Amino acid sequence: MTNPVDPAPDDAALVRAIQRDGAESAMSVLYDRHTPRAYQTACRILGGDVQRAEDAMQEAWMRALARLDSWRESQAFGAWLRGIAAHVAIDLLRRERLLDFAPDIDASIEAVAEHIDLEDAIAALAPGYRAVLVLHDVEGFTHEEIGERLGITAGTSKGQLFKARRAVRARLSPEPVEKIQ
Amino acid sequence: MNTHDESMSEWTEDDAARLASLPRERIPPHDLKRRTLAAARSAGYLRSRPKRVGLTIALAAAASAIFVAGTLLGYALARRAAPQPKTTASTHSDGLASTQGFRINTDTGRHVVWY
Repeated sequence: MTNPVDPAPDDAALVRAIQRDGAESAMSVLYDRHTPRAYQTACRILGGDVQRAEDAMQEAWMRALARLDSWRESQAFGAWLRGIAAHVAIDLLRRERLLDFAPDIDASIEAVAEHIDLEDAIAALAPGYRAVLVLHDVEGFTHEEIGERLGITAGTSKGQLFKARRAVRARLSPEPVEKIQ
Repeated sequence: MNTHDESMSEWTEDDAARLASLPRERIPPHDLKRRTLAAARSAGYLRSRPKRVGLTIALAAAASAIFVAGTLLGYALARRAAPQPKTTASTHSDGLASTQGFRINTDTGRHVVWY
């Protein structure tokens, strides 16, 4: 609930304060407001690796501050920051040569007897499939946006998503399922 | 971003509901904020307490200006109040002093009294 006497400044006002005065207090409010969501995105793309997600989040903020001029008030700041965080997380995977979108990559997750939850099933996907599934099904990016970020075509993104979903469903299903190739 | 892509229908209802119920936020460790702000400061994106530093500098400059102005004013007033040097015939005391081998100090140098 907003305090009528001292209303919380909106994102645009905070961004202007950072640009104009380098106001740390404004940055602190923006950080508290938007980091938890962006951090979750980075964490999911990185398969739940919190240490790397922290590095990605810090780097995401540095990139965001470096290009604050490119943010438009018509755009939700949180979504803009999440996009940057996702990009940084993908860059980390790419740097570690973990992103591979070759068609013969096995999307399946190693078989386990017990039922696992969705979060674990997503985390257990191969990094490239995981990135596509998180960006599309959790974060709501379009295939075109995903293709742009991952350096693949929209068609490839759709194919990767299809395989990723099948792999996750197989993992979640109590019945034995055929291995997905 | 589009959260209502038609291809979401590939999920079963249960799976789609589970997907929608995934937590959207994760609280980062407190230390991450401190590190991020420190990195932003050292990269020059943030300035800590800019107004207070500016105010201190302005006050110091104003105090210095007032001190210098006061000094100059005091100096000028003291100079104006000092007696003019005597260039006319010697006074009685001068004559008396010279006959007695003494010399009275008639130096008209400035004497500024500092408080």
